[in-house]
Amino acid sequence: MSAPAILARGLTRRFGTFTAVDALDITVASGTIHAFLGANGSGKSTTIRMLIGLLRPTAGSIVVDGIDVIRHPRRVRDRIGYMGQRVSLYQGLTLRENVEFYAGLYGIAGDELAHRWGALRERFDLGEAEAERPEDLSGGIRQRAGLALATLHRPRLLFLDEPTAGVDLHSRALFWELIQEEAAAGVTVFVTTHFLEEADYCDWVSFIDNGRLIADAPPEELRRRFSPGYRIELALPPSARAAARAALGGAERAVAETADGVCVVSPRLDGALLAAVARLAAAEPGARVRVEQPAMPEIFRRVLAEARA
Amino acid sequence: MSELAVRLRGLEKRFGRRRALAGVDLDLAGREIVAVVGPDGAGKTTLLRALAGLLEVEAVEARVLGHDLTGDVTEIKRRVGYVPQAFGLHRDLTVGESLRFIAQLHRIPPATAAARAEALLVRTGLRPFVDRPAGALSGGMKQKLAVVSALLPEPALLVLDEPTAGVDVLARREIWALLEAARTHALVVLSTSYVDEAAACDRLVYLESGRVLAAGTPTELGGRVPLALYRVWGDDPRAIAEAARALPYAQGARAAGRCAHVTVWTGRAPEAARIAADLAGLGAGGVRLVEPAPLDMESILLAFAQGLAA
Amino acid sequence: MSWRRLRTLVVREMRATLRDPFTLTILIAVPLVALLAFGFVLSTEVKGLRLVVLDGSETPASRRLLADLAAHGTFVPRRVATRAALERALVDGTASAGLVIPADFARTLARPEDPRPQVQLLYDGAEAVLAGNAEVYLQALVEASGATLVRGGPPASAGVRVMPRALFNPRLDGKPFMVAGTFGFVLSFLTILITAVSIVNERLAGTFEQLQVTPATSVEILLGKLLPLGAMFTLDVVLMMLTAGIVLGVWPRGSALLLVAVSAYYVSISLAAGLLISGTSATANEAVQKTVLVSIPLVQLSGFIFPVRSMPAAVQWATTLFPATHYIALARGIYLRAEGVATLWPELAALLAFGVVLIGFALRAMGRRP
Repeated sequence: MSAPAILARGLTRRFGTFTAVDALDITVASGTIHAFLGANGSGKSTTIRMLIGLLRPTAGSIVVDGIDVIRHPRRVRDRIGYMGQRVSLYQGLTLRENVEFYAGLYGIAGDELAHRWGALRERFDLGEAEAERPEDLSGGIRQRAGLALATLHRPRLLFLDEPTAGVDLHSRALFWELIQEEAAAGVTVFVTTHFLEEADYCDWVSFIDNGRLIADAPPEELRRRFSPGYRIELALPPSARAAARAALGGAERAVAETADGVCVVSPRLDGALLAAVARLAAAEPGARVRVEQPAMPEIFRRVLAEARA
Repeated sequence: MSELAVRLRGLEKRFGRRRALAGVDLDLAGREIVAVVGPDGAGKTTLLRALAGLLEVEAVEARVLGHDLTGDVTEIKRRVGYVPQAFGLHRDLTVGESLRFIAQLHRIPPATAAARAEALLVRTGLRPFVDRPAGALSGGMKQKLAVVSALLPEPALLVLDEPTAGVDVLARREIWALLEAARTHALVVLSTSYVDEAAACDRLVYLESGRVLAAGTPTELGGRVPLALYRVWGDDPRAIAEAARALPYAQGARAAGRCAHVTVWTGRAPEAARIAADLAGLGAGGVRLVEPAPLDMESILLAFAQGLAA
Repeated sequence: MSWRRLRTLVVREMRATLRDPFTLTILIAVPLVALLAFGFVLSTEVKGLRLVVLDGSETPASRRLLADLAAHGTFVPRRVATRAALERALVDGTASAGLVIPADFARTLARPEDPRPQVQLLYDGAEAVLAGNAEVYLQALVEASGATLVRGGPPASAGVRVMPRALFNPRLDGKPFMVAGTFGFVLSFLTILITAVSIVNERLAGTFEQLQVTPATSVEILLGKLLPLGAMFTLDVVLMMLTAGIVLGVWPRGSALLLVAVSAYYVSISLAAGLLISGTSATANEAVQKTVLVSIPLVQLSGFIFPVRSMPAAVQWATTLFPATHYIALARGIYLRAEGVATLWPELAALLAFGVVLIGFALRAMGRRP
């Protein structure tokens, strides 16, 4: 197993008497999308800024891509891309000029720049926006442009601080598609957001409240621990119900008959269960399936309620 | 409330040369929670401020609670509670002082005000903080205080601009509970970018470029979208989504949790079994189960955003 | 440090500034307006001073003195017949100063062994400023004619208070004096203000953070902001020099090149001060307030308007703590007296020392991480 892309231990940051971040442990595997969730003021931005070397922690250690960020903050800069809460496109310059500016800072020029920007422009659908100034572009386009700029120098890690805040739903969805593409290509993505349902787009979730980590697991595991589980309802004629109950029963599963058919509740949605349901549905004409996936906001409500209790 | 609480015809608002509202037609009756949704810059905040009587507008007709928006709005302001996006209360006043201040502004008799404030404070969990300066409250509590302040005069119309933005998830639920309670005797209009809140409301107003694209219950809005949703459960939802996009009848596909949400054109799509076969044929992500599902709010809003709605 | 990165940063800053009409207006219009305001309107020149004269002697010698007074247009003399009329003119404001030529003016002139005749000067205390300058000029003229000028008290019946002289310009060269001083004012106040506000605003907008995550170093980032500002202000120096020359007729009598060089160096000192202020300010408002706080003593104590010479000794010593004082002295030396490095080296050395200290602090502040 390869070394984690990001490894932070005991990360703490105090501002005077106020502890913004309290002894966080964060491990992010390479090539994954790691969501860092929490409300405004919970310590998300402080954490991400420490991870990229913008802010010095009061205590703790941070290793990003094998580099000790606290001792050598400048060494990570070539390898990471960052998109802050305020997307930093310079007003007064067109998008193209912004691209040339950032490229100049990373030492990308000439043919290489043209090639890379051409590809990004295509993928991120920024062709029409290229000659415009940021103040004339919509929020969604500015976000995409910010992401494009962050990936221009082909960083191995992306740090995105609330990239979808204030962005409309359609752009948000597009954005996540782009992020998932980056991860598929091997880039490690560390994202903070306050939209809890976006956790489902990610491979791992850390949930922070008042500076403390109160959850740290893949979304599926949080579902398993903090919800009654998946609920699958299968509408079947009475004759088929007994057989269905037998087929669906199993460890950790609760099967029961309902008015229309059968229902099974399981903390885990494994392939076997799904296949069994599919078979039963296919066998019976007129059978209907309904799968209820516990929603992330509800799960986090329980996580938070438990943590605060 | 028998008469229409809100009746707008051709409502327009310009800021300089920009038309923030370009002819809004809207009818809203009371005792509902109405969510105003739409892309960035659609005019949501402008519409809400107009309803609260804060802007000078032009309209063929613009009546809120029976009063004319284009005329003298003093009466409207007495009956409307408004919660803006930014925290608008005085940071130095304590919670208790803030509420007493609001009560005095609205000339609520002190005894009545105290009783109402007490009930609201207890319900929102703010009671222990009654002597804390508003500026020292956490984000969620500030928002709760803002909503409580707007509810104190028992308005007939409650207007809120992104009341839960960035607030922690528990406080969001509590604020929503406040709104549901307010709904029993008021019309509640709010803007939100949270999909689950849009799904929980009674009526949606989809705004785009200063115009109402659609207004109705979530079901009615769903009816205008020529798409059907299939949730495809399998081992690798992202791979499934990618493969699904290649299908000729697919409009889009998104991985969310353990399933891929695949939206297909209702005109062209075959039945579930055929879709399953097609996906399995692509050898993608270990498809196990294809579940036809009613359009969820996210798909509906996305469809509207992409201009697919009738 | 990477010159390529620095160039990228500087080019961006210049592009953004040149396309921002508001900033450009402030950077160019304000110095020129200040120059014209101070040089034109506020220069403490003496012109058209209304003088009432009681000529007790009525001789060719006294008439010649009067003619001399009127000749330069500095004074507009009006003859009165009685002492009462003179005092009345002073009290009711129709004259700013009064001159009493004694009856024995010509007689005492003719006898060199006698003490020189005394021409008495009375003035309205409220006009102390002009009167102060006028007095010296008058003194020169009167002494050239062989008499001495004696200051008389205020008219007995008037209740006019004598005010201490507030302004003093012994050489009566009002315009060049103010023009040179304005350079100091603009390059101190305006430069510090714009630098501080500009940096604070960038920090608040988040663009600094975005840059700090790139390979660009803090020094490069800040230099990328400061170098274009420095260039603009140095350009301002040239523009102000040209404007002063073309519109006000005031050209530096000494080396313009030396002035520009010294000014460029002074600009860098002000940039450093602006940077230090921005570092301690959380908002643009705070930066403005701090700049104004620093600039008020600067205006009072740098010799810009109020002459250092007329201040108490302890305060005079305090004025040497302001780099502006030395710069203004340098500017005036070059403008008014064609002085060069040979005579100005004390001020140059002082400025150099200040620069090293302030710029040193600034560089350290740049490199620090929060």
